[in-house]
Amino acid sequence: MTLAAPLPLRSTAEWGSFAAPEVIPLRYGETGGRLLQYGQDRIRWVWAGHAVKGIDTIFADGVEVGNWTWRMSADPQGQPIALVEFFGPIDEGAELVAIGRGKLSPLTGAMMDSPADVVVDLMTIAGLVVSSDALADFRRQCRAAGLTVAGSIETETTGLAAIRSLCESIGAIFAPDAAGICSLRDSAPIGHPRATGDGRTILSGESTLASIVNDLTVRHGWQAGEPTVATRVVSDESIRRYGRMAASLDAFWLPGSARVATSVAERLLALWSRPRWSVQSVGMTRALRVGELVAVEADDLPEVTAQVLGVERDFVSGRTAVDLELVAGGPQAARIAGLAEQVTRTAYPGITIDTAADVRELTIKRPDGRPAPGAEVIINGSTSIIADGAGKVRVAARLMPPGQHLIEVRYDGGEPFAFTVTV
Amino acid sequence: MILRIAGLPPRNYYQTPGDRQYLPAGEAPHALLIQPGTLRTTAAGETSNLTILLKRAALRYMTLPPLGAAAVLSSAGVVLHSGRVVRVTFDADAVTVEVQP
Repeated sequence: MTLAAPLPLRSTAEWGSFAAPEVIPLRYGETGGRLLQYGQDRIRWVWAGHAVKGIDTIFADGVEVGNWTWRMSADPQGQPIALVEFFGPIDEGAELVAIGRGKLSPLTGAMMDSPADVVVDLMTIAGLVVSSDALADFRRQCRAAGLTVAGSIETETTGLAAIRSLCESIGAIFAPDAAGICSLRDSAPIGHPRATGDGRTILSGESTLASIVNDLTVRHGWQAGEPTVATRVVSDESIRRYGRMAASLDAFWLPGSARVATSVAERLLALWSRPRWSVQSVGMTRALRVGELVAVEADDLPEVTAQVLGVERDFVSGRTAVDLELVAGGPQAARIAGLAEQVTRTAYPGITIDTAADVRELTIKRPDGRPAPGAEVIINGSTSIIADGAGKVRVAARLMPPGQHLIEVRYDGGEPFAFTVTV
Repeated sequence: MILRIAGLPPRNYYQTPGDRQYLPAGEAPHALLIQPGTLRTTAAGETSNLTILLKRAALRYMTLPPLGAAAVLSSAGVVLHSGRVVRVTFDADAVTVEVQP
């Protein structure tokens, strides 16, 4: 097995034919997700396909219900399942979402919510032999940063995609052959010496204004495919200097905790709110690994420390090409602009509106459900905004205060449409 | 031809000795401008942008890339293009500065 192959996830098809086959979920940390029907009687439902710490709350169509119990059980194949039993049958079509505490560590019996433990578990499920000690440095970094993760794997995916998604959520680098396998961005790898360019290297590089982010909204606390919380962090000094450069990060593996999300957002903004050089160095003879810090020396650059983000090694010539990221300028303070604001999502035909803090994000969709990049969105006949490549536009909430608004949408290849929304 | 990039201090990259008479007094002069590129503007609504080629030695003044800084390209005191720096690249030979209005 390799990380690029689909994870060998189990399917509800193993249970019989009473519902459409679905992946039996893996759940980590304090997370939420849909219950899967387990039997014709609509009384028994499954939350996860492994031992879990507990199930705490269940919502039926968004309303908390109390007529249930949970226990660990085994399915007909003898595999563990986290089973929920209701006191009576659940209505056909009802959407059941359970919030609970996920998978237990096979080593300690404690709930796995350390990013390092979840990476080890996913690599093991992918069929790789990896020791928990291999990620000891990463575990230490995450513990020092107070980082935990929460998330579910509910659809077919590869080990690589799952671990990358986890690492992107917490601002970490993942490279299976790198020292320590994973490393938090901007933190010095522990236990590895710094490497130095050998002076015979050829450096080229790029720095762009568009790569700066100084207004970052992290969407986290995902349940059943939707974020429940958004945390917004801005760097006023960077905004003053470069103009407002906003971005959002869908952190699928970050829990609903504002403390954890703020910690990640502040660390990422400390990197992203400053100019960065993306540098390629060709001809290094020293072996470098992804995640290592390199003291870059070149004739016309002062010595700076950069993090290795990619390595290409030519075994014939023995030479190495390295991608480095150099952060320029002094650190800039970040402040929390919107802390743990609830995300409210309103869906209309062709448009979804997410509201968090003082921003509304509109996602424009074609009739077939695909995003409509480049669509023109006209709000109340006056404000016109062009959607980005994902069909999204961001609007200051003051332009769409609570109440009714006329939204007109025009896009290439389709009929324009308009309707009134209520926010 | 002179490229002036605002900053602390502002820097003036000039092409020939003849440009020196047009340098602002008291500002850092550097004889590092190789040549301006082509100013590109289209009817498709694309933002016009200009790339300016500097000698690689200019990199020593760009450890902190001058992103967002006001930049003016002038010739004999006449402004040819102005905007702000949106991109800086370098290779073994040269530094390229991209300026957009």
